Amino acid sequence: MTTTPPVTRAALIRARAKALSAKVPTRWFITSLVALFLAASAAFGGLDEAATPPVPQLDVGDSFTGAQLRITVEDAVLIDAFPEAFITPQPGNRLLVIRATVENVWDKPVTTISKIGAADNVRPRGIDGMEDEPLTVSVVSDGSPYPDLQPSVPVELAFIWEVPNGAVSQSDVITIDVLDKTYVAGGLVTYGERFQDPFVAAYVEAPVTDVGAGVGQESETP
Amino acid sequence: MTRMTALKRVANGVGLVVVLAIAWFVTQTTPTEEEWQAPIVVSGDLGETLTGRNIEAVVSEVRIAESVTASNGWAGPTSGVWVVVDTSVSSVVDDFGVSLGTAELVIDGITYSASERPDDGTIARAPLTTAIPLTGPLMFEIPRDLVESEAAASATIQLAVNSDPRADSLLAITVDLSALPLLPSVETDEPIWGAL
Repeated sequence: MTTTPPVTRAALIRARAKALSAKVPTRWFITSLVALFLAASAAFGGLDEAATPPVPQLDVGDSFTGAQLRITVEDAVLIDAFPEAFITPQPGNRLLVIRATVENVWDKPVTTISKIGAADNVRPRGIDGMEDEPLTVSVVSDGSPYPDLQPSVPVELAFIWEVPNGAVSQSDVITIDVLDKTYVAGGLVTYGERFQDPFVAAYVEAPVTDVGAGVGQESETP
Repeated sequence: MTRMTALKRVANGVGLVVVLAIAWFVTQTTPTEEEWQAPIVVSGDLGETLTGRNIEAVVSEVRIAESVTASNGWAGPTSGVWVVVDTSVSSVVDDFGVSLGTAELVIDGITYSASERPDDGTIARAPLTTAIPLTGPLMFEIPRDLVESEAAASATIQLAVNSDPRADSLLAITVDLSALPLLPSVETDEPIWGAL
C-alpha cells in the first residue's frame, strides 16, 4: 500500500514555480534584474545630466599647473608688428600678443610648436577673424622662435596671433583659455611618451593694452 | 610495479617544476621593446675621444655660468643657469642628412636638451661631416638650485646623430657639475670646422 504524501497548497505553488523557472532561460532573469536595477537608478535621478565641474577662473598673474606645464598668463597686448623679429601681419591686420610665463613640470624638454607643444596651451576665445593656432611663439627676452622648454626652468613666452584691425581694441577684456593635455605613452605604431588632446582647464580675463607701433612691449607691463 | 609508478610520478612532478622554472626565467629575461630598441651606449670621460657607429666626439670643457654671450652676439637670459659644453663632433661612416640631433644633459633622470636659442652660436642640431669635426659650444638651460644638488655630481652629456638615437650609438660623457664654479658670465667661441 502506498500512501501519497499530503499535498499542501504551498508545496504545489513551489512545484509550479520550479517548473516555470525551468522553462524560462537564465538570461531572461539576468536581463530583467539589470532592467530593474536601471529603472530604480533612473527613478532616483540616474538619467539626470551629470554636473560638469566648472572651469576655474584665474586672475592675471595666477598660475595653472597642468600635467605637463605650469602656465601664468601675464598680460595681453595689441601691437602693429615686430619688424626686428620679422613678424609682420598682413595689411589691415594687427598682432595680439599674450605674454605668459610657462614652466615645464615634466621630466623631458617640451617643444612650443603647434599641434604637439606649448603653442596649444593658450588660446584667446571668441575673437573674430583670428586663426586658432598662433602665428608664432617666441621667447620674450631674446625673440627666439619656438624654443624648447627645459624642465623646471620657467620662460616668459609671447604667444602671437594675427587679428583683423578693430577685432580687439584698447581696454577690451578678452577671455584667454588655458589648456591642459593628456599623457599618452607607447602605442601600436607610435613610440615614446607625449601629451595630446588639449582641453580647457582654466581661463583668465585680461584687459588688452594697445601699444600702437610698439615702443618697448615690456614697458607696458603692470 | 607500484614502486615504478611512484617513481614515475615523482619524476613527472620534478619535470613540471623544471619546465615552470625555465618558463619563469624566460619571461623574466625577455628584453622589452624599450630594451631591444635601446641606444648602444659608448661611455667615457671629459677629454676622451668616444667613437660610435656614425658619431665621434670629444668633450673638451664644461662650464657653468649665469649668462652666456655667443659668438653671434646672442645673449639670452635664463631663469636658471647655463651649462656650456665645448665639444668636437664628426660623423664616421656617412654624413648624408646627418646632424647632431641628440645633445642632452641628463641629471637625476631628468633630460635637458641643448638650447637652440643661440641659433648660429651653437652646434646643437648642426649638420655633421664625416671625418671633419665640427667644434663649438652647446648651451644647456638648467634650474639654478640643481647645480648645488648631489645629483649634479653625476650628470651625463649624451650625444647622438639625429633626434632618435634608438638602435644606434649614443655617446655618454659623465661630468661632475657640482665641482664646477658658477661663473658670472661666459663667452663662447664661434663654431668652426676642424678639431680644437
